[in-house]
Amino acid sequence: MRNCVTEVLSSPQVVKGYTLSDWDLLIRQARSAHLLAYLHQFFLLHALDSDIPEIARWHLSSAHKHGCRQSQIVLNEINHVYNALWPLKTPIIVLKGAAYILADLPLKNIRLFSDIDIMVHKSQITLAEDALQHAGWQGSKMDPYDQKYYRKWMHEIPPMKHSKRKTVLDVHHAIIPETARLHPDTDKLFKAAVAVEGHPNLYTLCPEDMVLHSATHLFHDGEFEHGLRDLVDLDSLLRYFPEQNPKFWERLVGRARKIDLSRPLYYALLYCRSNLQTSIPDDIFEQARKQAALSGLMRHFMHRLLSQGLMPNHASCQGKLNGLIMWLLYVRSHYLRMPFHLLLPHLFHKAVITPYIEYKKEKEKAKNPTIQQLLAQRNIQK
Amino acid sequence: MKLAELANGDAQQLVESSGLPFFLGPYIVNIKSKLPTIADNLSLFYANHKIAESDFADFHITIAPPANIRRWFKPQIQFSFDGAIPFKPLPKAQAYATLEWGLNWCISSNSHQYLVIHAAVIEKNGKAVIMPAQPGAGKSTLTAGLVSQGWRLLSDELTLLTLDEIPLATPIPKPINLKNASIQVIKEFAPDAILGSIVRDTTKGTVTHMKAPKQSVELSGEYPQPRFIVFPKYKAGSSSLMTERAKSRSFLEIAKQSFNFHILGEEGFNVLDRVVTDCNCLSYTYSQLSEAVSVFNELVE
Repeated sequence: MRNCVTEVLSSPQVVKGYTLSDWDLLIRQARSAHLLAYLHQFFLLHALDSDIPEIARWHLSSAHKHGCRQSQIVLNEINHVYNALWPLKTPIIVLKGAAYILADLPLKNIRLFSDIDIMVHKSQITLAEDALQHAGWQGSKMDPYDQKYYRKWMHEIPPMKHSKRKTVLDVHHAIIPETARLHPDTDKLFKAAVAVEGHPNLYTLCPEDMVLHSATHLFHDGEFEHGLRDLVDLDSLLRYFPEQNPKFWERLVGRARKIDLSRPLYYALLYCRSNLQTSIPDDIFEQARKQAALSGLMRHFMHRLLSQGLMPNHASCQGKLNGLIMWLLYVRSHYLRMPFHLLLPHLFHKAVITPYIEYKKEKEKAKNPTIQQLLAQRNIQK
Repeated sequence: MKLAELANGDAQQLVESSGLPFFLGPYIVNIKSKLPTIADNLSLFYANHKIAESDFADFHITIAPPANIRRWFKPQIQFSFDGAIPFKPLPKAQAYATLEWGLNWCISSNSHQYLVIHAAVIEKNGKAVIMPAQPGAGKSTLTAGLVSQGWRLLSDELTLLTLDEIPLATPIPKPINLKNASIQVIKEFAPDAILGSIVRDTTKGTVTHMKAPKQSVELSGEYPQPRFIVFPKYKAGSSSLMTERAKSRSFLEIAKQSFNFHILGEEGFNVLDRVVTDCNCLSYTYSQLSEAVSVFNELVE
């Protein structure tokens, strides 16, 4: 099992010896990891552009063009969201990918999605949802069970989709569900947030919180669909912020302790260092390790899971136990989000009841054919 | 080496194991499937395409049954682009048609090194003619008719314009997709054309494919300059009529038909601007393929 993407990201010069077969595997793995656009920029940064074979070049530049376009769409969307929520006069924090674009960070053109994540105070969530619906966002068509899951237990309302632009918006009121085992104080996040110039009430998380949120998103409630891409995001943040502020590392570890996110931070530092050769001061790493207070057994178990979870989601990177490992990571992410007495019924519902409801809906649909189906039947009879 | 030159049974063996890699214009496509119909159809339609002996392929495509009960019960197949499943599974009988549609999708959704337009493009005497796709236009029938009478097929679905000072059309000669009534029309108009098996009950009705002429495949390396943009309209019983069409209107229509106009932004706008400026933009109403062929031949003399 060979992970070319990590190979290249941790030692870029290795591509000089790559055969066409290696490039083929690299492009395919990078595509499934949503990292083609990133690789394009990466090769430019490391002056390796001329080492890319002509045959492979368009894959990288095409993805990059697409990424640039998505960044434009995101900025446009943020504007729309801001205008819709402006009357509430409440602070809005932009999270994740949209925040990287808004803050003009180096990793801004690599995303191929244009979903936006924002966070508002819990007390404002209903007003926010109303204002957004008024401006054209619609709630997802969800069954009553999923609605309850989100609104009662999770840290976000069900995803909203704009009726005209078809863009997706996730509105959070915390960065971790209330039912979870870790309890970062949302008020502290708001207090430390960085204002976006020229936009009163619009914020991004401060650098330390941005890293901690990214780490939490991946290592706490992550389902590892884009594990490697999320790790690459973390690596980019951990290379950029120390350059901007030499005190960043100390502040990061201190902040993790303060808002109860030491464990995700430790995982982030551990895997960025081992998989992507991110440069982390030894004393900081030691401090983070002690703070995380992770037992050797747990670390070993998680390592087994994360070794697979942080691979590109490609057939060439899937070992025999891949199915089991991904399922365990899925269960873990839910276990960390909710206590057992909620988790078990939830898993049962998702595994058995939801598919059954879907099956019944499909049967109903088949009884009432759509216009297209009727026309197609007529065409055949002709 | 062409696909047809492979030893008996080798093509099938390749398709069923590591995949059959061949050139389609500038692309290298690798197709894998254990279904005999895929190997058979590939051997028929891609006989003149060159086998790619490189270890690199642009698109790794698999046609296989889904991993659930539909593997056996009312069998379905699934199109996979290197593990990604972009469409819902379809009935097994539509396996080959699905492959062709899926391949079009792979090209059109990823190729931002071109301006990708939903239009047919053919060539004669060094001049390319672009025919944008509009409902009821009869574009595929017209394309098949012209191609059967000596025109070179670049594509029946996707016009890929290079992003150059003088944008050129990219050849990707693959089987022409024919639907419903046009199948009989082409059978009568071009009895020598090689058609595949008929597949019914698809979302587009009854479909089949027409093999690209050998010469179209052999000239895959020659990129002609578009000289004409013709908006065809099939109207039963009408007489053949070719009229000038406003360039401004034509520009907007084609922009609407471009899959990645919004991704290329200014670059795409400029390419389309150059092409529309340099081409004659025409509307063509017709009902007889034979008339259409004469009119088009006159156009490029």
